[in-house]
Amino acid sequence: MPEVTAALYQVLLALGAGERHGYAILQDIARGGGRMGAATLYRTLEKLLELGWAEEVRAPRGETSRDERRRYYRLTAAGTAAARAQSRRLEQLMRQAAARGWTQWGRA
Amino acid sequence: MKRQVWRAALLHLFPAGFRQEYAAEIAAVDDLQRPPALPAAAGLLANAAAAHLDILRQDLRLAARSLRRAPGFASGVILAMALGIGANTAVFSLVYHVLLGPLPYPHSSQLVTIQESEFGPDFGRATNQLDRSDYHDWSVAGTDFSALGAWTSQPLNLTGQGTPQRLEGILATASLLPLIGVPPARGRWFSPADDRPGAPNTVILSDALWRQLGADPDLIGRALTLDNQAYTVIGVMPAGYAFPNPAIQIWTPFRLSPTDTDRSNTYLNVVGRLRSGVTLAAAQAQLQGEAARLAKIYPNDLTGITAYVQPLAGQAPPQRRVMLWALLGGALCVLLVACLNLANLMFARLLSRRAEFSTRAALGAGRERLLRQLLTETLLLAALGGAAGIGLAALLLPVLAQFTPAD
Repeated sequence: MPEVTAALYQVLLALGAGERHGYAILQDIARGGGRMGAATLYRTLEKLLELGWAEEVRAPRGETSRDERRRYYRLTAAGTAAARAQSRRLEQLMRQAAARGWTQWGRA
Repeated sequence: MKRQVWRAALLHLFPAGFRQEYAAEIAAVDDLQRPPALPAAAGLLANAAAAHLDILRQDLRLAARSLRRAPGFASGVILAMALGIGANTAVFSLVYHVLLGPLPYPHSSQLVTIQESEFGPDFGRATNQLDRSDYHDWSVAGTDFSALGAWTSQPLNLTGQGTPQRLEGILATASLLPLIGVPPARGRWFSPADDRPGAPNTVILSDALWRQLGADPDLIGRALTLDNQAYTVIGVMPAGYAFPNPAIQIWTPFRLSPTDTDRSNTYLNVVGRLRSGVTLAAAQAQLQGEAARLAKIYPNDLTGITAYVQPLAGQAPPQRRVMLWALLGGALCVLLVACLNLANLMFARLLSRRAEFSTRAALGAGRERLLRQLLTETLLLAALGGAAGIGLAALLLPVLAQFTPAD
């Protein structure tokens, strides 16, 4: 199981909401309070493609993109499974953090 | 600088494959995102480095696997490199240490040997050691030197310390060891009083001899019997001290008389230290002037005799020098043969892998990527071969040093 870095996880999260092109992923990440540069994004996307966790899609129907050659990305089944597994791992960690009083996560 | 310019330049640092795929996208997104210049540039640099590192890691893994599947080839290459690199490293270390490198004495570039030269120093030179009178006269005239010293071989038989043994030793003027500049580890140098004719016998020991005799610190001040005479031990030289050569075990005073008139018995090896700022050529000219002056006074003995001054470094005896240069030549031949072997091995392997590479190219691997893989594999072999070579050199060096004659 390759290590899921923070950058990888952030992109997985963004793609979990549906097909995205590069800039949209960065906007999602920014909205979530994170920050990522263009170079890091595309290196991460390359890795996701290599791992088979994401795949490229040409512009989906209905999108009138300014750039016809724009690439879209979406999670594969393997990618979704990997994202789920990593989320469960983080969940366990967050439970411990909550027990220490470091986070309000998990409290109603 | 315009953003597009430096951005394009930094994008060029990325591996070619990545650049072809994503450079346009990165530029487009960067235009939309517009992050401040410095973090953006830093991000590009960091990611370029990381991308190259990833490829390196991949390629190393591939290379290791590929070599493991061809153990004959790998061991052949590593062996050839080890022999070539190891032999040359060992031999060159030896040659440098003996012939080329500076001597382990303070300001060793000031140390020179002084010889008599017949038929002029420009042609057909026959060099000789000095006779006693010339040594005295040249010492007086040689103001370009801060000191001169003389020595000659004088082995002595040690008795009274277990089985009698013949010790390699030299007679040395009191000026000699101080001018070389390395003080004794224990005790003291010869004083001018020790060096007068008729003075009581004194001796300085080498570290090896002192250890052989029990390494007793109280040995200094006691007497040893050399050639059936009592010699008081006054000092011990440091370990590894090798003037005039590593075989010397004892130094005893020359006890020359300053009024000696012998001008025909040439057996003194003379060493001098140039005054700082004085060139060797100037000092030699000074002595040659004195030699010319003396030749007029003593034409029978000294006609045609002049001075010849040379740096002390690199003054190994001729057989040793020839042996060392021959060794170096031999090692270079070994290297040449190793290179030819390597070229053959690599070429043969490349030919046998043509199918593998064409398959990989058909599957989409770019040409640059394949070349890079090959290069990484070769570098891995080179690293292993180099390491093996250094190990071999470490083993070889003491063996070689043993086999070159010490004198």
